[in-house]
Amino acid sequence: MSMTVTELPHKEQALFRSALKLYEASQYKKGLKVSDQILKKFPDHGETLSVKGMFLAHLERKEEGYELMERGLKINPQSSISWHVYGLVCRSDKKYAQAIKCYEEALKADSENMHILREVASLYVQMRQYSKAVECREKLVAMNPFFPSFWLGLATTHHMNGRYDLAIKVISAHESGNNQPPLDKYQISELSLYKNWLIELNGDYQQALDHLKEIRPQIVDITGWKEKKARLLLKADRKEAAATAFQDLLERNSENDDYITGYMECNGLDMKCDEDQDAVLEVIGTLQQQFPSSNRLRFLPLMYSTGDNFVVAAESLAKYALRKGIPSLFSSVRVLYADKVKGAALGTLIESCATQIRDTKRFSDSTDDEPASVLLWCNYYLAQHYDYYGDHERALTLIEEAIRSSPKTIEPYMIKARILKHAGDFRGARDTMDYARQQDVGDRYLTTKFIKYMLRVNEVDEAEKTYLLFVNEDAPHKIQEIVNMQATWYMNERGHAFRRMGDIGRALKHYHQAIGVFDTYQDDQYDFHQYSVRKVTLRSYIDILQWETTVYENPAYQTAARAAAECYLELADRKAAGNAFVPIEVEKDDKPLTRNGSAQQGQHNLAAGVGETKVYDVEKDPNGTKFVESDNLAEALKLAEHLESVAASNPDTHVLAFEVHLRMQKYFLVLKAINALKAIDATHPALPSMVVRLSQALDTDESFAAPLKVPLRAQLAKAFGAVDITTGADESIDSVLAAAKSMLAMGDGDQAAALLVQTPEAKYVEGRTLLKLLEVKRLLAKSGADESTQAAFGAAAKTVFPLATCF
Amino acid sequence: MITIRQAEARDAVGMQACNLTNLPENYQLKYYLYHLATWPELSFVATTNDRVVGYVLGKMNDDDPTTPLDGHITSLSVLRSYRRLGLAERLMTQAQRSMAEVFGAHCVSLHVRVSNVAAFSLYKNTLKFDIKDTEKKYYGDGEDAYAMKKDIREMYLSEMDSLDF
Repeated sequence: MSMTVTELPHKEQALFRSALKLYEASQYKKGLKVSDQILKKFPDHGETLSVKGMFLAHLERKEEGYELMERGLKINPQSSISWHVYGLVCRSDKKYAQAIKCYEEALKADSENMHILREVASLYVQMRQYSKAVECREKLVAMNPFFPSFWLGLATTHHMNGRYDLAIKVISAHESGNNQPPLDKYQISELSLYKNWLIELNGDYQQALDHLKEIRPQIVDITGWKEKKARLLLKADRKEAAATAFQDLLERNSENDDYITGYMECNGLDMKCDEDQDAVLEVIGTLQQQFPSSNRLRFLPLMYSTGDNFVVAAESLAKYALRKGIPSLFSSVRVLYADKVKGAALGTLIESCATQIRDTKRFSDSTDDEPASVLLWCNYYLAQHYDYYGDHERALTLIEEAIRSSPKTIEPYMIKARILKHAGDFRGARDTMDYARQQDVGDRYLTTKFIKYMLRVNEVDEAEKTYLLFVNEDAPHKIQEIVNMQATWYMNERGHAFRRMGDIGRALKHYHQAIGVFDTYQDDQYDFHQYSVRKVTLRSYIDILQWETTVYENPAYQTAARAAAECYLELADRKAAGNAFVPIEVEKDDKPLTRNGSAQQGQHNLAAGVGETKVYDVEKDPNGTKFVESDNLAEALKLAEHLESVAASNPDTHVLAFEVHLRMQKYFLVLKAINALKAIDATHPALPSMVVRLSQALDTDESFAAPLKVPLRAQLAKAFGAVDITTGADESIDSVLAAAKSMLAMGDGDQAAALLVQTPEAKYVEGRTLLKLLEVKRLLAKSGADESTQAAFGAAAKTVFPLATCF
Repeated sequence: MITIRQAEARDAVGMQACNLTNLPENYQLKYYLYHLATWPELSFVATTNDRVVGYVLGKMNDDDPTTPLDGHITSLSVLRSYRRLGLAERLMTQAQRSMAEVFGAHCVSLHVRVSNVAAFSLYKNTLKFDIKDTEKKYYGDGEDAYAMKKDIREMYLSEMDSLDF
């Protein structure tokens, strides 16, 4: 019935209120019982049905719950409570857009309800609808101007809405008010620095500086205050004062790059300008004297010096690092190798060091013998140096010398494994890494690398067994625990392994695990809308919001999403070719899932005394059937569209979008993808073949309206003119790959093969990598080339990568 | 080239990755965000090209409101490939100073596996922690932990900044 709660008899009203209290206390079973008590007398009471539905939804009876809530709303469509309850459930199911709609309905009937306003404000922020959040929070502040969470929340929402001025106004109006609860010392400090940041964002640096002085007595984040001082002074062009401020900061942390760069800027020095080089090096030198223990200052001269200056600086750093035995020396200077002169100079330098030590046991300018380990670290560096340049044989020789000189040092084995990986001997890499980790089985870092190398040779079961060695013993289900701990690198690598093995179903399962992790990451921010505001850690809160807005830009997400989309496209293509993929059943006889790795899952649960066997998510659909049987193109589209919205600056996004839209015959979107790619990189190797394929599709697709083809063809002609699919394929392996893929898509395997087999030739040396040649191999097999052609390619590839076992 | 700075939200995924690579005690991302949202000044990262190669995740122990606040190290780790640079020591120093200055902590405490000789040496010899206790079966795999503690009151630099600028 459409009677509201207040129209029920007193007894039932009291029961209803207690039901709501039970919800707040998360006592869902009891709440359910109480709801049923009311419904006994009033079986059609709309609002009670809604509340009962809410309890059911929280007791794993979601479908029933939603049904009841909908019934409740049908009976009483104006009930604020019923809409509120539905909104709550949608929100806990992370259906934020739907939740917002419910809350908006709830507000229609009860526009001044504080709870509803608070909750929907958080939802608006979650969905980045800041203007609406501002509206709600203004109401809340008007209702209670002395509750800090309300006006602080409003300030942050103004901030995210770009109105720093309004945010400042709100804070100024309320910070000295009779706040309940009053802000404590830490919170006042945080608020002051937040307000100062707003003043800075609002553009008035002098005002910010004045404010900074004002607030100092109440600041506890002293480093934060000093950072602001230095930055603001620099922005206000008060270089001398800023320099002192940055020096003050360097006293606290001489490894901080922002402090060093800031200090340099104060000296009017552009670190990237060659003319300033001597002055820059002099300043760095002075700083080094002040802060002799700073690693960063030790490395910095190499970044900003050239010619003889560079050699001097490099020699100083090298001797320090070689004597100390710092494994990351090469990794740290690797960035310099982009400058060919510097790379060569470093090689020459370390070779010279090695020769000096070998011949005389000391450096030419020292009076004492160096420890024997110095030669080890010289060889260790040089191995990485030659590996960088692709001279894997020489690199191996050097690292093996290093190993012989000190067989118990583990680091050289890791480099050897990496060299073998680069050289195409993945099994050798795996075996070397296995040896390394066995020297220190308690070191998870070594085991982690080993697991990765196992996955690279598709040893998925062994990799899993090994991973489990480090999973928490208390975890009720160890494989689920791996997923719960959000190890996306592992999920992606497993996905790649299954994909290589042709098990598209399992590949998709793992890619979706990784995608799910990022969905969780984005969702994580929700609680902080209230928590951070309550804690008054507002700078941190805004930082969290800003990062969360970009959470899907993470490379691990992009990898998973793109790989999954490509899998879906492959499924669709195979279906269309009459060769549909069938999920692969795999026999698994031992399941080391639970404690001690011995008990079967079912037994473990029964032992725990629970009647039902819980099925964990990881156990469901082991073959990935659900993914295989989905609407493949629709799934690919979802992923491609999401990438277009979050990763538009990545060329690969548009290459993928092209493939999806083309198969779905959305030719305007295909053109859009081509143009987007062109805007990023007009020389991208995939462009010629994309243009050709779109043209061909327009020519052959009779179901697409002819009048629509006209503007598409015109735009293509205007933007690209006459295009040959083999453009650039004469000298660029990337162009060969792009052209070959497209030729295969258009059914021309022979032409693809003819191009592909040329890639081991000398003219393709620029940008040719092992992985690209492996891709060539894969495409060649796909092209239907005969055995002898493939074998000839393999032999030719081996002349380029003599140590490779993968061809 | 490595830089050391206060941890930000964008570092959380990298801290988690570093932790998963190195240590058996792992946490969900939200736990890292919770630290950054509650004690933003107590976590630091060592990064190179925006990749987290080392981190310290710090917090305050506010379990018992009657005792002075103690700082606590939830987690500390540096990738093996970046050892011998003193990163752990530098990260810890930053975190400890912040605990003293920002939150007025008198002590900082942490747990370390009794078998972890390298870490124990860092805390005992380099950073001057003392063993307070041995906690039996502290870790998930049953290993014992040393509960270590250090007085950090002298790390509070009570000098007042000059406001003459």
